[in-house]
Amino acid sequence: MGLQKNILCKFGTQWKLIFILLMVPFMVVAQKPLKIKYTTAGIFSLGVRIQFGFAGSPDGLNVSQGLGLSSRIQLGKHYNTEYYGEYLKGRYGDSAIKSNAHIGASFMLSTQNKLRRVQPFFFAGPDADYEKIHQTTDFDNAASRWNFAAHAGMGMHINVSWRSDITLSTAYMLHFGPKIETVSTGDQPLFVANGNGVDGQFMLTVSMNFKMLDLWKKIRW
Amino acid sequence: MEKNSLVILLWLLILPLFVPAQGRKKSFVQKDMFSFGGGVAGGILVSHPIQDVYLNGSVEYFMERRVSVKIDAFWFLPDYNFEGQLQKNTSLLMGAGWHFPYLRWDTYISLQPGVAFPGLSSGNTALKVKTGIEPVLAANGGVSYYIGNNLHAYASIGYVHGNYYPESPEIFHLDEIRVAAGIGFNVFFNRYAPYERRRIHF
Repeated sequence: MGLQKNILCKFGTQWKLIFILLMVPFMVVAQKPLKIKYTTAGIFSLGVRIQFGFAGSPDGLNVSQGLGLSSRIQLGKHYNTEYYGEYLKGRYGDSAIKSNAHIGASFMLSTQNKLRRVQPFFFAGPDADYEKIHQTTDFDNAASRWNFAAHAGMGMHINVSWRSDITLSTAYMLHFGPKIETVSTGDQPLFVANGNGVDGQFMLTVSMNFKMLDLWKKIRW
Repeated sequence: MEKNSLVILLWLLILPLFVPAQGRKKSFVQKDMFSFGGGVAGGILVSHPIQDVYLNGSVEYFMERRVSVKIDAFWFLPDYNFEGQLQKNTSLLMGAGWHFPYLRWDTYISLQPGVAFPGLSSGNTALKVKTGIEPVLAANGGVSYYIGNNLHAYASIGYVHGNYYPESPEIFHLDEIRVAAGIGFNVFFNRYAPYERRRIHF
Protein backbone atom coordinates (compact mmCIF):
# COMPACT_ATOMS: atom_id res chain seq x y z
CA MET A 1 0.00 0.00 0.00
CA GLY A 2 2.81 2.29 0.93
CA LEU A 3 4.68 1.35 -2.24
CA GLN A 4 1.64 2.15 -4.42
CA LYS A 5 1.24 5.59 -2.83
CA ASN A 6 4.91 6.21 -3.36
CA ILE A 7 4.71 5.36 -7.12
CA LEU A 8 1.64 7.57 -7.65
CA CYS A 9 3.35 10.49 -5.97
CA LYS A 10 6.48 9.96 -8.04
CA PHE A 11 4.78 9.64 -11.49
CA GLY A 12 1.64 11.70 -10.83
CA THR A 13 2.82 14.79 -12.68
CA GLN A 14 4.34 12.72 -15.59
CA TRP A 15 1.01 10.89 -16.22
CA LYS A 16 -0.70 14.23 -16.61
CA LEU A 17 1.93 15.31 -19.11
CA ILE A 18 1.64 12.10 -21.14
CA PHE A 19 -2.16 12.40 -21.16
CA ILE A 20 -1.96 15.96 -22.50
CA LEU A 21 0.50 14.92 -25.22
CA LEU A 22 -1.82 12.08 -26.30
CA MET A 23 -4.75 14.48 -26.53
CA VAL A 24 -2.92 17.13 -28.58
CA PRO A 25 -3.44 15.45 -32.04
CA PHE A 26 -7.19 15.61 -31.53
CA MET A 27 -7.06 19.34 -31.16
CA VAL A 28 -4.68 20.33 -33.97
CA VAL A 29 -5.28 20.11 -37.74
CA ALA A 30 -2.96 17.63 -39.40
CA GLN A 31 -3.52 18.79 -43.00
CA LYS A 32 -5.49 21.41 -44.81
CA PRO A 33 -8.56 19.81 -46.42
CA LEU A 34 -8.03 19.05 -50.15
CA LYS A 35 -10.04 21.28 -52.39
CA ILE A 36 -10.64 19.35 -55.59
CA LYS A 37 -12.46 21.13 -58.38
CA TYR A 38 -13.00 20.54 -62.08
CA THR A 39 -11.65 23.10 -64.49
CA THR A 40 -11.94 23.42 -68.24
CA ALA A 41 -8.36 24.68 -68.58
CA GLY A 42 -6.23 22.51 -70.82
CA ILE A 43 -8.96 21.20 -73.11
CA PHE A 44 -7.52 20.70 -76.59
CA SER A 45 -9.86 20.86 -79.60
CA LEU A 46 -9.43 20.27 -83.31
CA GLY A 47 -11.65 21.57 -86.08
CA VAL A 48 -12.22 22.48 -89.67
CA ARG A 49 -13.37 25.89 -90.82
CA ILE A 50 -15.20 27.41 -93.76
CA GLN A 51 -14.46 31.00 -94.46
CA PHE A 52 -15.82 33.84 -96.54
CA GLY A 53 -13.82 37.03 -97.03
CA PHE A 54 -15.29 40.34 -98.14
CA ALA A 55 -12.80 42.88 -99.46
CA GLY A 56 -12.83 45.96 -101.60
CA SER A 57 -11.25 45.94 -105.04
CA PRO A 58 -10.95 48.46 -107.89
CA ASP A 59 -14.31 47.27 -109.21
CA GLY A 60 -16.26 47.02 -105.96
CA LEU A 61 -16.80 44.42 -103.29
CA ASN A 62 -15.41 40.94 -103.88
CA VAL A 63 -16.21 37.76 -102.04
CA SER A 64 -13.66 35.02 -101.55
CA GLN A 65 -14.24 31.51 -100.24
CA GLY A 66 -11.87 29.38 -98.25
CA LEU A 67 -11.18 26.54 -95.90
CA GLY A 68 -8.85 25.83 -93.03
CA LEU A 69 -7.89 23.86 -89.97
CA SER A 70 -7.93 25.08 -86.41
CA SER A 71 -6.99 23.95 -82.94
CA ARG A 72 -7.86 25.37 -79.55
CA ILE A 73 -6.30 25.22 -76.11
CA GLN A 74 -8.55 26.47 -73.37
CA LEU A 75 -6.76 28.47 -70.70
CA GLY A 76 -9.58 28.92 -68.22
CA LYS A 77 -13.27 29.19 -67.66
CA HIS A 78 -13.47 32.45 -69.61
CA TYR A 79 -10.36 32.27 -71.75
CA ASN A 80 -9.61 30.23 -74.83
CA THR A 81 -6.91 30.37 -77.49
CA GLU A 82 -7.23 29.34 -81.12
CA TYR A 83 -4.50 28.59 -83.67
CA TYR A 84 -5.39 28.21 -87.32
CA GLY A 85 -4.29 28.10 -90.91
CA GLU A 86 -6.62 28.97 -93.77
CA TYR A 87 -6.67 29.57 -97.50
CA LEU A 88 -9.08 31.83 -99.41
CA LYS A 89 -9.54 32.46 -103.10
CA GLY A 90 -11.75 34.89 -104.99
CA ARG A 91 -12.04 37.51 -107.68
CA TYR A 92 -10.18 40.80 -107.35
CA GLY A 93 -11.97 43.18 -109.66
CA ASP A 94 -12.95 42.09 -113.16
CA SER A 95 -9.55 41.00 -114.37
CA ALA A 96 -7.70 39.44 -111.44
CA ILE A 97 -7.83 36.62 -108.90
CA LYS A 98 -6.73 37.05 -105.31
CA SER A 99 -5.51 34.25 -103.05
CA ASN A 100 -4.92 34.70 -99.34
CA ALA A 101 -3.37 32.40 -96.79
CA HIS A 102 -3.47 33.17 -93.07
CA ILE A 103 -1.61 31.59 -90.20
CA GLY A 104 -2.90 33.10 -87.02
CA ALA A 105 -3.85 32.92 -83.40
CA SER A 106 -6.80 34.29 -81.46
CA PHE A 107 -7.33 35.03 -77.82
CA MET A 108 -11.00 34.39 -77.06
CA LEU A 109 -12.85 35.86 -74.13
CA SER A 110 -16.27 34.58 -73.17
CA THR A 111 -18.39 35.97 -70.39
CA GLN A 112 -20.41 32.92 -69.40
CA ASN A 113 -19.64 30.91 -66.31
CA LYS A 114 -21.25 27.63 -67.35
CA LEU A 115 -21.21 25.70 -70.60
CA ARG A 116 -24.46 26.58 -72.32
CA ARG A 117 -25.93 25.76 -75.69
CA VAL A 118 -25.00 29.20 -77.06
CA GLN A 119 -21.83 30.85 -75.82
CA PRO A 120 -20.91 34.29 -77.19
CA PHE A 121 -17.31 35.48 -77.18
CA PHE A 122 -14.98 38.24 -78.30
CA PHE A 123 -11.64 37.54 -79.89
CA ALA A 124 -8.54 39.22 -81.27
CA GLY A 125 -5.10 38.17 -82.40
CA PRO A 126 -2.16 38.44 -84.77
CA ASP A 127 -1.71 36.79 -88.17
CA ALA A 128 0.85 36.19 -90.86
CA ASP A 129 -0.82 36.97 -94.18
CA TYR A 130 0.23 35.83 -97.63
CA GLU A 131 -1.46 37.44 -100.60
CA LYS A 132 -1.13 36.72 -104.30
CA ILE A 133 -2.90 38.51 -107.12
CA HIS A 134 -2.74 37.29 -110.69
CA GLN A 135 -4.43 38.24 -113.92
CA THR A 136 -7.33 36.03 -115.01
CA THR A 137 -6.03 35.60 -118.55
CA ASP A 138 -2.33 35.43 -117.74
CA PHE A 139 -1.21 33.58 -114.63
CA ASP A 140 2.37 34.79 -115.11
CA ASN A 141 1.28 38.37 -114.54
CA ALA A 142 1.22 38.03 -110.77
CA ALA A 143 2.53 39.63 -107.61
CA SER A 144 2.68 38.31 -104.09
CA ARG A 145 3.75 39.42 -100.65
CA TRP A 146 3.89 38.36 -97.01
CA ASN A 147 2.89 40.79 -94.29
CA PHE A 148 1.75 41.14 -90.73
CA ALA A 149 -1.94 41.26 -89.96
CA ALA A 150 -4.21 41.57 -86.95
CA HIS A 151 -7.85 40.74 -86.49
CA ALA A 152 -10.62 41.31 -83.96
CA GLY A 153 -14.24 40.32 -83.85
CA MET A 154 -17.01 38.49 -82.09
CA GLY A 155 -18.77 35.21 -82.45
CA MET A 156 -20.63 32.42 -80.74
CA HIS A 157 -20.15 28.75 -80.03
CA ILE A 158 -23.20 26.60 -80.58
CA ASN A 159 -22.49 23.61 -78.36
CA VAL A 160 -24.04 20.66 -80.17
CA SER A 161 -22.92 18.37 -77.37
CA TRP A 162 -20.56 18.59 -74.42
CA ARG A 163 -17.62 17.84 -76.71
CA SER A 164 -18.54 19.29 -80.09
CA ASP A 165 -19.47 22.74 -81.24
CA ILE A 166 -20.20 24.82 -84.29
CA THR A 167 -18.69 28.27 -84.08
CA LEU A 168 -19.89 31.25 -86.06
CA SER A 169 -17.71 34.34 -85.99
CA THR A 170 -17.17 37.61 -87.76
CA ALA A 171 -13.97 39.59 -87.70
CA TYR A 172 -12.20 42.43 -89.41
CA MET A 173 -8.63 41.79 -90.42
CA LEU A 174 -6.11 44.54 -91.07
CA HIS A 175 -3.02 43.86 -93.21
CA PHE A 176 0.03 46.00 -92.48
CA GLY A 177 3.04 46.27 -94.75
CA PRO A 178 3.73 45.97 -98.46
CA LYS A 179 0.80 46.46 -100.80
CA ILE A 180 0.12 45.01 -104.21
CA GLU A 181 -0.57 47.76 -106.71
CA THR A 182 -1.95 47.68 -110.21
CA VAL A 183 0.10 49.53 -112.82
CA SER A 184 -1.51 50.10 -116.21
CA THR A 185 0.78 49.42 -119.12
CA GLY A 186 -1.30 49.98 -122.23
CA ASP A 187 -4.28 47.65 -122.13
CA GLN A 188 -2.75 45.22 -119.67
CA PRO A 189 -2.71 45.78 -115.90
CA LEU A 190 0.57 44.83 -114.25
CA PHE A 191 0.58 43.71 -110.63
CA VAL A 192 3.53 44.73 -108.49
CA ALA A 193 4.28 44.51 -104.78
CA ASN A 194 5.13 48.09 -104.03
CA GLY A 195 4.88 50.60 -101.19
CA ASN A 196 3.46 50.24 -97.70
CA GLY A 197 -0.01 50.70 -96.35
CA VAL A 198 -2.93 49.23 -94.54
CA ASP A 199 -5.81 47.37 -96.12
CA GLY A 200 -8.38 45.07 -94.68
CA GLN A 201 -11.05 42.50 -95.17
CA PHE A 202 -14.16 41.41 -93.36
CA MET A 203 -14.24 37.71 -92.49
CA LEU A 204 -17.14 35.40 -91.81
CA THR A 205 -16.16 32.00 -90.41
CA VAL A 206 -18.06 28.82 -89.66
CA SER A 207 -16.03 26.18 -87.87
CA MET A 208 -16.79 22.73 -86.49
CA ASN A 209 -14.72 21.67 -83.52
CA PHE A 210 -14.32 18.64 -81.31
CA LYS A 211 -12.76 18.55 -77.85
CA MET A 212 -10.12 15.85 -78.24
CA LEU A 213 -8.38 15.62 -74.86
CA ASP A 214 -7.57 17.36 -71.62
CA LEU A 215 -3.89 18.24 -71.78
CA TRP A 216 -3.51 19.24 -68.17
CA LYS A 217 -5.67 16.53 -66.59
CA LYS A 218 -9.15 17.07 -65.34
CA ILE A 219 -8.53 17.75 -61.69
CA ARG A 220 -6.78 20.70 -60.13
CA TRP A 221 -5.84 21.05 -56.47
CA MET B 1 -69.07 1.14 -56.34
CA GLU B 2 -67.09 -1.95 -55.46
CA LYS B 3 -67.45 -3.16 -59.02
CA ASN B 4 -66.02 0.11 -60.40
CA SER B 5 -63.03 -0.09 -58.04
CA LEU B 6 -62.40 -3.65 -59.13
CA VAL B 7 -62.46 -2.66 -62.81
CA ILE B 8 -60.03 0.20 -62.18
CA LEU B 9 -57.71 -2.09 -60.23
CA LEU B 10 -57.85 -4.66 -63.00
CA TRP B 11 -57.00 -2.00 -65.60
CA LEU B 12 -54.05 -0.80 -63.55
CA LEU B 13 -52.76 -4.36 -63.34
CA ILE B 14 -53.20 -5.02 -67.06
CA LEU B 15 -51.82 -1.64 -68.20
CA PRO B 16 -48.10 -2.58 -67.86
CA LEU B 17 -48.63 -5.38 -70.37
CA PHE B 18 -49.39 -2.83 -73.08
CA VAL B 19 -46.79 -0.19 -72.19
CA PRO B 20 -43.22 -0.66 -73.46
CA ALA B 21 -40.74 -1.28 -70.68
CA GLN B 22 -38.22 1.16 -72.15
CA GLY B 23 -39.18 4.51 -73.59
CA ARG B 24 -36.61 4.40 -76.39
CA LYS B 25 -35.24 1.53 -78.42
CA LYS B 26 -31.48 1.42 -78.80
CA SER B 27 -30.04 2.44 -82.12
CA PHE B 28 -27.35 0.47 -83.92
CA VAL B 29 -25.10 3.51 -84.28
CA GLN B 30 -23.01 4.03 -81.18
CA LYS B 31 -20.01 6.05 -80.16
CA ASP B 32 -16.61 4.93 -81.52
CA MET B 33 -18.01 3.32 -84.64
CA PHE B 34 -15.71 3.47 -87.66
CA SER B 35 -17.11 3.01 -91.13
CA PHE B 36 -15.90 3.23 -94.68
CA GLY B 37 -17.71 2.73 -97.93
CA GLY B 38 -17.69 3.15 -101.65
CA GLY B 39 -20.23 3.94 -104.28
CA VAL B 40 -21.19 5.96 -107.28
CA ALA B 41 -22.22 9.61 -107.41
CA GLY B 42 -23.88 11.70 -110.06
CA GLY B 43 -23.84 15.47 -110.25
CA ILE B 44 -25.85 18.10 -112.05
CA LEU B 45 -24.08 21.44 -112.39
CA VAL B 46 -26.36 24.34 -111.54
CA SER B 47 -24.84 26.94 -113.88
CA HIS B 48 -23.96 24.68 -116.81
CA PRO B 49 -25.87 22.02 -118.73
CA ILE B 50 -23.43 19.34 -117.60
CA GLN B 51 -23.87 16.10 -115.69
CA ASP B 52 -20.92 14.51 -113.94
CA VAL B 53 -20.23 11.00 -112.72
CA TYR B 54 -17.95 10.20 -109.80
CA LEU B 55 -16.69 7.28 -107.81
CA ASN B 56 -17.30 8.02 -104.16
CA GLY B 57 -15.20 6.85 -101.21
CA SER B 58 -16.23 7.71 -97.68
CA VAL B 59 -14.61 7.31 -94.27
CA GLU B 60 -16.39 8.19 -91.05
CA TYR B 61 -15.66 7.97 -87.34
CA PHE B 62 -18.31 8.53 -84.69
CA MET B 63 -16.74 10.66 -81.96
CA GLU B 64 -20.10 10.58 -80.23
CA ARG B 65 -23.32 8.75 -80.97
CA ARG B 66 -24.64 11.76 -82.86
CA VAL B 67 -21.45 13.47 -84.01
CA SER B 68 -18.96 12.13 -86.52
CA VAL B 69 -15.95 13.18 -88.53
CA LYS B 70 -16.63 12.48 -92.20
CA ILE B 71 -14.17 12.42 -95.10
CA ASP B 72 -15.45 12.03 -98.65
CA ALA B 73 -13.50 11.64 -101.86
CA PHE B 74 -15.19 12.06 -105.23
CA TRP B 75 -13.10 10.73 -108.09
CA PHE B 76 -14.23 12.35 -111.33
CA LEU B 77 -14.87 10.08 -114.32
CA PRO B 78 -14.14 12.25 -117.39
CA ASP B 79 -16.13 12.42 -120.59
CA TYR B 80 -13.61 13.26 -123.29
CA ASN B 81 -13.98 15.22 -126.54
CA PHE B 82 -16.52 17.72 -125.31
CA GLU B 83 -15.35 21.31 -125.49
CA GLY B 84 -16.07 23.34 -122.38
CA GLN B 85 -16.83 20.16 -120.47
CA LEU B 86 -15.19 19.54 -117.13
CA GLN B 87 -12.52 16.97 -117.69
CA LYS B 88 -11.35 17.03 -114.10
CA ASN B 89 -13.30 17.74 -110.95
CA THR B 90 -12.03 15.33 -108.35
CA SER B 91 -12.70 16.62 -104.86
CA LEU B 92 -11.76 15.82 -101.30
CA LEU B 93 -14.07 16.94 -98.49
CA MET B 94 -13.68 16.75 -94.73
CA GLY B 95 -16.14 17.89 -92.12
CA ALA B 96 -18.62 16.93 -89.47
CA GLY B 97 -21.80 14.90 -89.58
CA TRP B 98 -24.77 15.15 -87.22
CA HIS B 99 -26.73 11.96 -86.91
CA PHE B 100 -30.25 11.05 -85.92
CA PRO B 101 -30.01 7.27 -85.48
CA TYR B 102 -33.11 5.14 -85.02
CA LEU B 103 -32.79 1.36 -84.74
CA ARG B 104 -30.86 0.25 -87.83
CA TRP B 105 -31.46 3.53 -89.66
CA ASP B 106 -29.26 6.56 -89.44
CA THR B 107 -30.31 9.85 -90.98
CA TYR B 108 -27.65 12.51 -91.07
CA ILE B 109 -26.70 15.95 -92.23
CA SER B 110 -23.12 17.03 -92.83
CA LEU B 111 -21.14 20.14 -93.59
CA GLN B 112 -17.79 19.66 -95.29
CA PRO B 113 -15.24 22.14 -96.55
CA GLY B 114 -12.81 20.72 -99.06
CA VAL B 115 -10.69 21.08 -102.12
CA ALA B 116 -11.63 20.45 -105.75
CA PHE B 117 -9.16 19.86 -108.56
CA PRO B 118 -11.07 20.99 -111.66
CA GLY B 119 -9.85 21.21 -115.24
CA LEU B 120 -11.69 22.28 -118.39
CA SER B 121 -11.38 20.38 -121.62
CA SER B 122 -10.60 22.40 -124.72
CA GLY B 123 -11.89 19.62 -126.96
CA ASN B 124 -8.39 18.76 -128.10
CA THR B 125 -7.16 15.65 -126.31
CA ALA B 126 -3.59 16.36 -127.38
CA LEU B 127 -3.47 19.42 -125.12
CA LYS B 128 -2.82 18.83 -121.47
CA VAL B 129 -5.65 20.03 -119.25
CA LYS B 130 -4.54 22.46 -116.55
CA THR B 131 -5.71 21.51 -113.08
CA GLY B 132 -6.82 24.11 -110.58
CA ILE B 133 -6.93 23.85 -106.80
CA GLU B 134 -10.13 25.44 -105.56
CA PRO B 135 -11.77 25.60 -102.14
CA VAL B 136 -15.29 24.17 -102.11
CA LEU B 137 -18.01 23.66 -99.56
CA ALA B 138 -20.56 20.86 -99.42
CA ALA B 139 -23.78 20.50 -97.43
CA ASN B 140 -25.25 17.01 -97.49
CA GLY B 141 -28.11 14.99 -96.13
CA GLY B 142 -28.42 11.25 -96.26
CA VAL B 143 -29.51 8.00 -94.78
CA SER B 144 -27.69 4.77 -93.91
CA TYR B 145 -29.16 1.37 -93.18
CA TYR B 146 -27.09 -1.11 -91.18
CA ILE B 147 -27.22 -4.74 -92.23
CA GLY B 148 -25.97 -7.38 -89.82
CA ASN B 149 -23.13 -6.30 -87.58
CA ASN B 150 -20.66 -4.92 -90.10
CA LEU B 151 -22.36 -3.82 -93.31
CA HIS B 152 -24.33 -0.80 -94.34
CA ALA B 153 -25.83 0.83 -97.41
CA TYR B 154 -26.07 4.58 -97.82
CA ALA B 155 -27.63 7.21 -100.04
CA SER B 156 -27.09 10.94 -99.86
CA ILE B 157 -27.88 14.16 -101.64
CA GLY B 158 -25.93 17.36 -101.31
CA TYR B 159 -25.05 20.74 -102.70
CA VAL B 160 -21.47 21.65 -103.54
CA HIS B 161 -20.51 25.30 -103.83
CA GLY B 162 -17.28 26.52 -105.39
CA ASN B 163 -15.71 28.49 -108.20
CA TYR B 164 -13.05 27.48 -110.69
CA TYR B 165 -10.77 30.23 -111.97
CA PRO B 166 -9.29 28.97 -115.26
CA GLU B 167 -6.85 31.04 -117.30
CA SER B 168 -9.71 32.83 -119.04
CA PRO B 169 -11.84 35.91 -118.35
CA GLU B 170 -14.82 33.88 -117.14
CA ILE B 171 -15.31 32.06 -113.86
CA PHE B 172 -16.56 28.49 -114.08
CA HIS B 173 -19.09 27.89 -111.30
CA LEU B 174 -18.70 24.46 -109.73
CA ASP B 175 -22.06 24.62 -107.94
CA GLU B 176 -23.56 21.19 -108.23
CA ILE B 177 -26.29 18.96 -106.84
CA ARG B 178 -24.65 15.64 -106.06
CA VAL B 179 -26.43 12.37 -105.40
CA ALA B 180 -24.43 9.40 -104.09
CA ALA B 181 -25.21 5.83 -103.12
CA GLY B 182 -23.11 2.87 -102.09
CA ILE B 183 -22.31 0.21 -99.59
CA GLY B 184 -19.83 0.09 -96.77
CA PHE B 185 -18.24 -1.74 -93.88
CA ASN B 186 -18.43 -0.69 -90.24
CA VAL B 187 -16.74 -1.79 -87.05
CA PHE B 188 -16.85 -0.63 -83.41
CA PHE B 189 -13.61 0.69 -81.99
CA ASN B 190 -14.95 1.28 -78.57
CA ARG B 191 -12.70 1.88 -75.65
CA TYR B 192 -14.51 -0.34 -73.20
CA ALA B 193 -13.18 -3.68 -72.08
CA PRO B 194 -14.79 -6.63 -73.90
CA TYR B 195 -16.84 -7.68 -70.87
CA GLU B 196 -18.32 -4.17 -70.72
CA ARG B 197 -19.36 -4.11 -74.35
CA ARG B 198 -22.99 -4.47 -75.04
CA ARG B 199 -24.01 -6.28 -78.15
CA ILE B 200 -26.91 -4.77 -79.93
CA HIS B 201 -29.75 -7.25 -80.44
CA PHE B 202 -32.88 -6.61 -82.39
